[in-house]
Amino acid sequence: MGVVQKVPVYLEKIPGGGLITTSLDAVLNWSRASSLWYLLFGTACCAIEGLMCTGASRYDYDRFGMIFRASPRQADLMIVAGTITNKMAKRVKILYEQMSEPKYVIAMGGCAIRGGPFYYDCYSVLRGVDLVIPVDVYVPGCPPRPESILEGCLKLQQKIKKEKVSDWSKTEKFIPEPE
Amino acid sequence: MTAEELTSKIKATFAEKVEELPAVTGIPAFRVKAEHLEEICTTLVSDPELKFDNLSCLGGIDYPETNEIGVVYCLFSFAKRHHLNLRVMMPRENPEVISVSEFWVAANWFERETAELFGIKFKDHPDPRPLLLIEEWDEGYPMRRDWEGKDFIRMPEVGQEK
Amino acid sequence: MVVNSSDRVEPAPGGRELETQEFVVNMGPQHPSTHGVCRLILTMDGEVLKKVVPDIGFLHRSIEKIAENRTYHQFMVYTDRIDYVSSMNANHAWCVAVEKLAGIEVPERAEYLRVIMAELNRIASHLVFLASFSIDLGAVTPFLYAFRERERIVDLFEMTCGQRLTYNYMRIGGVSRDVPKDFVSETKKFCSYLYPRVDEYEAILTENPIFLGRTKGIGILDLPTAINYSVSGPPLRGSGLKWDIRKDEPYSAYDVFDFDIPTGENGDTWDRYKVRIEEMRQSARIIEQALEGLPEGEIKAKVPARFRPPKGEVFARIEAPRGEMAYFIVSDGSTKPYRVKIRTASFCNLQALPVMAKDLKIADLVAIFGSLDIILPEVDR
Repeated sequence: MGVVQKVPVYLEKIPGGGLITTSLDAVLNWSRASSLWYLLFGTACCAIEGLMCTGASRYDYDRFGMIFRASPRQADLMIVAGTITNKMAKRVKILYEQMSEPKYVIAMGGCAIRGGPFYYDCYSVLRGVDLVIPVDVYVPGCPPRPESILEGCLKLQQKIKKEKVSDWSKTEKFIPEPE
Repeated sequence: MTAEELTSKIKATFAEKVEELPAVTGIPAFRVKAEHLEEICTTLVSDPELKFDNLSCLGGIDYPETNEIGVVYCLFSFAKRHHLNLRVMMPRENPEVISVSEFWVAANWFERETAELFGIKFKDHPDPRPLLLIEEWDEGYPMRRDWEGKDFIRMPEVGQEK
Repeated sequence: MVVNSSDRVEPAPGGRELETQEFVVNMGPQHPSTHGVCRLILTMDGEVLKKVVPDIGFLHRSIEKIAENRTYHQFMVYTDRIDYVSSMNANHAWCVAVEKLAGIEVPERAEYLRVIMAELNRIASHLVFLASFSIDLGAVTPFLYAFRERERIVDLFEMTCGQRLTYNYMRIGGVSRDVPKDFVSETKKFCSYLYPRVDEYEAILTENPIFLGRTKGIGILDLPTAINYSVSGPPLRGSGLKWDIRKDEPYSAYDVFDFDIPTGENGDTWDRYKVRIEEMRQSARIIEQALEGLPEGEIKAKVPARFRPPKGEVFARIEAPRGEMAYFIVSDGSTKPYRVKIRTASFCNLQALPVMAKDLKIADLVAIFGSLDIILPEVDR
């Protein structure tokens, strides 16, 4: 009966079956937050910790409903793990545009947040991935422990649960320019 | 061959074309002029007592104070188990040296990287395209000691951070 | 029935020859099998590869430029990030080079501890290889098994230095802190736990007909080509040459221990995989011997904080899990190096990929790429 705690519910029994009434916001947000499929996009050290170790036996992403997908068309979460260089920045933007709405981004590790140890004396590193794509949650560390990344995912789930359907028509949607 | 035997053999084979440098912690080191590099490498590869069949490392080095820029070659021989270091120095205006990728294929990518980061031209290189930097790079040669880029922030000394 | 690349499809009587055309496919920087951000531009004729051109530089973080503005102690942190899967070995390479330059004598306990940590990290790195190689070929189970073992090694490291991935454990002149009381017994337990696990992985993979079909005879690299391309590490030993810097140019405390060097015969993908599996067993042997003979004493020689090595140069190399890692350091007598050139194994091993993958299929390319065990920050620095 965990569903009862998670969704505001008025459970009515009518002859022939059960009926749950709730709000549309709650159901959509709950289904999105419980099944975030993340894109396999790791560039550097944080990829081993944040994608491979956290997805493996001891810390498991699958218990949160998160499965890795190789193609951006099938994913709705991009965990940017690792340093982004100037050469890679264009490709990050292309990958972000290929994901379909609603999509979320977690910036993981010092390099993705502000350039990390490569802030000074570097001629080819992008100082922070939020210069090219919008970021929802920042997880600091070099590299962050798997527990930190899971905490970041839970914070993202809380953020998703506060969204409202009526906001969709008000925000500007990103529309890429025609070829 | 030990380091002393190798040093005397190199000096005997090439006479005035090489100039001995202080040994790099046990590895014989020689300074070579750019125009003699090709025949020296041919002898190093084919001579049965030297037989340098492996290039360990190739890197650029820049000395703006003496107006010189150069390339360092670290060679190794699996057959005879000895090392050798060569250094070719050139003036900084228009540095040019022959490519050694016909002797050791591993030099191909090393030379591409040195060419785009230091600005040294390798003649007869089979594939002279940039390797590591972005395609639209036009800000000079970043590994030179006196390079300043528009987005380049140097780390401040300890105690002087703003 | 097995179809080879060279089989021709004969036209039916009265029919025409098929006209084919070569086309270019991009195996882009974001791809699950490229182990990082490596871009391969493939020219293909149907399913057969005609030309493979790697395009690198997507992780070029200008570490050599950074080295010119950091002291020798401060640069240790960046050596971790050059090869993060085996960062103890990367730290070890920098320490060996700087100590050779300045003539620093390292205490014996520190040398033994360094060897133990480096060999544990070699096992961890080969486990990551096993995990990603099998998941590329489609076997998901060894991925989970290998990471289970790796978690035990990472627990040992966390007990000692507090970090899980980029350890920064070694210092110039020794190591940063001593091991805790139960480290020796826990590591001995781990070594005896490891041998039957490695047999288990071999039982799943080594004689499996699907695995053999995908790796035997694929991606052959003969020995003269390997030497000319400066290939090093397990790919070179898989091609038949018995060369290991730990035995042939010993550094640190390796001349004291007794271990074998596994080699392959044909230079194909299966040989490179088998060499790494055997190396895991040999590393466990070295660790057991080092734990038996661990001496008491200091863990760090006295090195000043504003450390100024004498003016000069050094070229020093070690055997990292991927191959030969070497540093060429030019010092001008100040606290910061004048020029640091990092020579890594994956840079040279990746150059040999087009030669190995000629006239094979794209699925074979994935197997060959996995068997070379490339790590991209080593290639791009």
